[in-house]
Amino acid sequence: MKALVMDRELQVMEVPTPGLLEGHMRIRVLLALVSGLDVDIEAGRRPYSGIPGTSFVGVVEDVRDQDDRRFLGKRVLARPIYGCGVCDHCRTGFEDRCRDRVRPGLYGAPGGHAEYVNLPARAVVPVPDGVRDEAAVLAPPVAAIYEAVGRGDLPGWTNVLVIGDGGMGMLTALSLASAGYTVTLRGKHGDRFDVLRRHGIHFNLATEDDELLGERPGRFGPALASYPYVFEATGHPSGWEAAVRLVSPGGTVYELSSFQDRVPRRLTAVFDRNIRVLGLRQGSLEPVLSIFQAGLFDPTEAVGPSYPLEEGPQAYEHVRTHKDRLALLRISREGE
Amino acid sequence: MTPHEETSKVTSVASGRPGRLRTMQAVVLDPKPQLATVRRPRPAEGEVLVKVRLCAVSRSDLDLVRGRRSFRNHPYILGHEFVGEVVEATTEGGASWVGRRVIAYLNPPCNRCLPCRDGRSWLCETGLSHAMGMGSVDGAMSEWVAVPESSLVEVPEGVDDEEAVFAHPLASALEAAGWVDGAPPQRVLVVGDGNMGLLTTLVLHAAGHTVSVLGRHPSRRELLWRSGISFSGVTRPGEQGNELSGSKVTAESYSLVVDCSGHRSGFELAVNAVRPRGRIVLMSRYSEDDGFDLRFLTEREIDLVGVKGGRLDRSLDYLQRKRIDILPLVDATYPLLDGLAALERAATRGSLKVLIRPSAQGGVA
Repeated sequence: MKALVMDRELQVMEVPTPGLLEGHMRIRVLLALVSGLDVDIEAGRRPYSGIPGTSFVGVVEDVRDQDDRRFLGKRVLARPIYGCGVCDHCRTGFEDRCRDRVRPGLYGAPGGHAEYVNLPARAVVPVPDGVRDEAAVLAPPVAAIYEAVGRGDLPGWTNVLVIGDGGMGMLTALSLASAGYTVTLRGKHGDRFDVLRRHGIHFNLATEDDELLGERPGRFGPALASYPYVFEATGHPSGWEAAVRLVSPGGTVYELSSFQDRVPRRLTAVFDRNIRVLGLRQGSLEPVLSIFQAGLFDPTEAVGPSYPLEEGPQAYEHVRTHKDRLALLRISREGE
Repeated sequence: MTPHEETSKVTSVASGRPGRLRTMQAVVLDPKPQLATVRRPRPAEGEVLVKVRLCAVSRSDLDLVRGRRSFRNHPYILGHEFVGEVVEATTEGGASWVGRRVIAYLNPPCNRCLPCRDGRSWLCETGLSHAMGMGSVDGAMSEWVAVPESSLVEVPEGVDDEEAVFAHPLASALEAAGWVDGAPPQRVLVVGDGNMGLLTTLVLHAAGHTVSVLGRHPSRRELLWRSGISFSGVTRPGEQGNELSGSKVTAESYSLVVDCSGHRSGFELAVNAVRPRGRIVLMSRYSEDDGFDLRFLTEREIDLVGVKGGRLDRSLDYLQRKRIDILPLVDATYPLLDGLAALERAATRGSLKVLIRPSAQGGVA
């Protein structure tokens, strides 16, 4: 099969299609997301060799276990993280606390930037009819954002500040706006005004780092008040400082950046200003897919162009250099 | 006039003939700590004059003495963890306070910022520049102190002075305990066995949780074992500085870890001990505030919560109900004239709460 393989550098390669192990299902990948995580791997900021790709949709073509036959021919979305399935946490329904978690494309299993992926049934969610592949691959990040409500006590209908207008920041702003929040997006690019305006999102441009930090007021936007709820989605070292400074004392920062830059950070502001910082990475996929199915939110405006698998490195290039920072790999078509 | 404008700094080292001036003794930061004879404060409009009965050395006092934090406006009197009696008022409303035993918030509410409107004036950042004993407003390591009426909290009967001076750190400890999810007993790890660590440990234990303490002072073992709390020493042979290391704690096994260590090594232990989707509560300022690797935040979806301060009336109520025996945390009490020795004692490794009692009330003309 064809796959993108990271081995010191990223290449399109012909690799053996993996044999189907017990308990696994063979998934033909339809569409995969290229995100900042994948670019971190490509740039060597995350140690990983193998096939990347953490978020992808595919069709189940073969199964080993009789129980999994119900998945045959179905469209599924890979869970970005799944548990070992045998430890106490996994068996008692707390898979998210498992210490041997697998993250396809990051550790423990190959990812979805390939024609085929083998995964156990517990690692996938069926995609409901009516949800496009382009939307479904965005369900994992959107689910992480919505976790702020459940895990992070984000009350309804409040003002929130989103810092960073790259792909993840846009997706965060759109997700929150669609959920009824009054969103101010603060970022350095400002190239998606049309989308933001359509969704009633305020934009606050900070062209320089010191503006991002709130030392100088940003341009073309409301003056920066202090916000009790701030989402940090810059993926950039200045984002952390900006978030812990711009949040009001006693407020909450929802952290979506993974800090692969390894820039050491300061922490005392968290104590001094009584801030709560909640790391968000994953959430329940099923409710998000239901929201997409009901047409309540279309996240696809946050995504850039799509590329065929052969042009995978260009898709990475796009994410690395472009401001919208998310791209798609169209790997195969349903029914092919 | 806002409450902030009413407060005024009174420190000025008195000169001339002390007998004719209304002076008092005070521990002054200038910028090194010193004992000085200063003018006795006169309460401005909206303030009351408090005769100090007892004042504790707080962590912020030590941070200021060590230069871990600094405010300009030297010289100023240190101290805010005090208990005293209101002896003079300036307004009609203030008159009702006269004769009552009080403690006070660091700053009066500005009533404009989000936290103040939320009833959490200890988070007020405008207030920080008007906080007692922190630069612009004199503190209470002295015989008398002027305090804004809106900062005062009455100490109920049945709470001794020695207990009431713990109201500030206890308020933080109670806030921290509020971050435990689920009914007791939950397993909680406290990193650091200084005052804050021990106080938080006692509160968590009293709430019914199973607390383990990681600390550097084996002498704490006895104090904690009396309450049935397990203590792990993390000292290692040949160690230097204030490093915490060599823990015997199982990695990723606690849903709540409270870090009171004040050191990056302590924080790293906390990060190592917390389970995925667990919570770390930060209760101290770090000695070197740099170089924190925060990849764990999103990798393990950790909830990181800073706790500094809390409701004083809640602390006093808690003390009145005698939920914990707080007096073993008193290390020593010094007379005001030995105030510098008190600061030194409080800064000594392994010391607990050091109190200053301005007993000899001299200086009135």
